[in-house]
Amino acid sequence: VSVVADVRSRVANDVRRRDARMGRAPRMAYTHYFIQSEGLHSRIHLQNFYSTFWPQVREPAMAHILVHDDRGQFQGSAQREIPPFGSLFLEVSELLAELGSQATEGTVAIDLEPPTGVRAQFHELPDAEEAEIKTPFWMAYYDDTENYMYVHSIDTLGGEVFGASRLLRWSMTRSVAKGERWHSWRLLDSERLSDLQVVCINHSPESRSTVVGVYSPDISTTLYEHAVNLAPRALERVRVPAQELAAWSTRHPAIRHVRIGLDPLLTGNGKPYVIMRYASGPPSLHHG
Amino acid sequence: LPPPTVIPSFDPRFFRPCTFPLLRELGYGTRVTVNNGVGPDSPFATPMTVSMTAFDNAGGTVGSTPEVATLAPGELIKLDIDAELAGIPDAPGDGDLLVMLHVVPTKWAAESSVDIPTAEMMAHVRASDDFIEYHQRPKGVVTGVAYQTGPLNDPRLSSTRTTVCQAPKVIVTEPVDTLFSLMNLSTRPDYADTVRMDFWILGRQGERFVRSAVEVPPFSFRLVSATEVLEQAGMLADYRSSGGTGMFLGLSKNGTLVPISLTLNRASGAIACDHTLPPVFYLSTWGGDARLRANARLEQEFFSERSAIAAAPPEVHA
Repeated sequence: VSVVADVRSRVANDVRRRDARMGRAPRMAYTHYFIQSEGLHSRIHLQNFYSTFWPQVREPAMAHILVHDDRGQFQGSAQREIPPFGSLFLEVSELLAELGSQATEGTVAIDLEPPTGVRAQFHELPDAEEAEIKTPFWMAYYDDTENYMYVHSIDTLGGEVFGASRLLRWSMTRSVAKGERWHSWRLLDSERLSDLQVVCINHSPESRSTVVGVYSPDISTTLYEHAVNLAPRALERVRVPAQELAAWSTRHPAIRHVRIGLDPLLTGNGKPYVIMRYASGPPSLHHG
Repeated sequence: LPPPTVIPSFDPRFFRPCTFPLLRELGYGTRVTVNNGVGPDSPFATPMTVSMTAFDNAGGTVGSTPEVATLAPGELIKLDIDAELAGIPDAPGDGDLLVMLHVVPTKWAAESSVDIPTAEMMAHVRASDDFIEYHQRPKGVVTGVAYQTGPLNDPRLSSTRTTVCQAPKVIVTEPVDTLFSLMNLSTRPDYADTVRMDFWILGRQGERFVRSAVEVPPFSFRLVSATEVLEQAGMLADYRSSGGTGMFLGLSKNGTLVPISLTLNRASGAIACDHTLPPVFYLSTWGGDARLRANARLEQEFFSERSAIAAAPPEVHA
C-alpha cells in the first residue's frame, strides 16, 4: 500500500510542479473585515507585489475583489487593474456603491491575478510542487479626522483557490480546517476598558459555531462568554455589555488584565478583529 | 545551508529577545505583553526570566536591568516599559531608545555563554508573538503591533541577510504623515554592522517620486518620515496632488532591518502601527537563489547607478 501511496504522491507532486512552473500555481485570496459604521471608514491598500519579484515585467496585474456582507451574503465582485509597482487604495464605500450594496459591515477578499508575463516566470518558483500564491493586503480604518488604524491580512477565503487546475482546486478546497482553541497574546487593562467588541468571522463556506470569551491571563477565570453561530462567510461583532465591563473590577479585583479567546477559531488562523477603547479615548481596532 | 543543530558559545540573553523602539519623541509611552509561549506540554517547556537592556541612538548600551519578571511555561505578563526603565539609572528621560527584553530559560540565567540547541530556540521564537502597545500621553490613544524578533543578522543562523520592504502605506495627506521605523537587530552581542536601506517613494501608478537612503547602526532604529523625504526633494506638493498615497519600496543588501510603519496624524497625535510582510507571505516557497536573483533584478531596476537619483537627503529623522 505504501508503494502505491508513494507513487501516487510522486505523480501528484510532479503534476503540481509542472502546472506551477507553467503559470498555474494555486492562488488564495486573503480576506479582511470592513466597517462603515461606528464613525469608522475602511480602505483597501494593495500593491502589485509581483513587480517586486519580477520587475522586468511591464504588465499590470488584475485584482479580483469579492464582497460579502455581515450575514455572509455575496454582494458581488469588482476588478481593478494595478500597474507595475502601482498600488490600489480603494475606499470600501466606493466599492459598495459600485456593487449597489447597502452593507455597513462585512468582508472583502482579494485575489491578485498575475499577468501573462509574470506567469511565464513561475519556472523560478522554488519547490514549485508546494508553492502557493497569496494576496495579502492591508485594511486601513479611519475616522472623520483621519486618525488611522491598520490590520494586515491573517486568513484567507476558505474553500476558494484560483489559478490552478480543476483537480488541484478540488483537492485543496474539499475541506476547510477549523482552528484550535485560541487565546490572544495581548493583555488588555481591565479597569480602563470602556468598550470592547470582538468581531468573529467565518471564513469558511459552511456554517460554524464558536464561543467568544474574555478571560483572566491564566484562563482560570471566565469574565464573559458568548456563543456565536455563523452562516457561511458571515460575521458577528460581539459587544461586551458596558455593565459587564464596569462590574469586572468589583467582581474580580485581583484581575488587572484580561485576554480575549475563541473556542475554537472558526478557520485555521481566523483570529478575530478587536475594537476597544480605554476610558474616553478614541477607538483602537486591531486583530486579536 | 540549513542552520546547525547546536549553536555553540551563544549568549543566552539573545535566546528569545523581544525588541522595540520607544516612541517618546512622538509623545507615547510603551507597554509590552511578553509571553513564555511554549506551554507545559512541550518538551521545550521551561520557566523563563525576563530582564531588559536599553540602547541609545548610536546603538551603544545605556544599561541593563536585573530580572524584572519570571514566566512559567505558557504564562504572559504586561510590562510598563517606562516604569521599568527606572531600573537603568543612566537611561535618559527622553530621546530615542531601543529596548530589548531578554527572555531567558532560568537554567541559563547566570550564564554568559552556552551551547544552544537550535530546535529549542526556534520553538520558543515561533511561539512568541509579543504585543508592543504604545499609549499616547496624556490623550489616551492606544495603538500597537504584535511581532516576533527571532534570529536576525547572525551568520551562525542565516547565510544571506537582505531586506526587501514593500509597503503600500505611504499617506502624506494633510495632516497625516507616514513614518517607517527600521530596526537593526542581531542575536550576536558583538554585532557591529550598520545596515543601509536604499528606498523609493512611489506613487499609486508606480511612478518614481523620490529616492533616498537611510543608515541604521547596530542595535538602534531610525524613523524615516515620508513627508520630510518628499518635502526636502521638493516633491511633496506633486505627490499630494497625485493623491498623496503610494508605496515605500526599500532594499538592504548588507543586512536585515525590521520595518514597522507608523501612520501619524500630526494634529491629533494618533498613530496606527503595523509591520510589513516578508516575501513568503506572497509566494510561500520564496527564498534561496530565487530571492537573490530577484533582489539583483530589483537593484538593477531601482537602485543601480543608472537609476535616476532624485535630490534627496541621505538620511532623514522624524
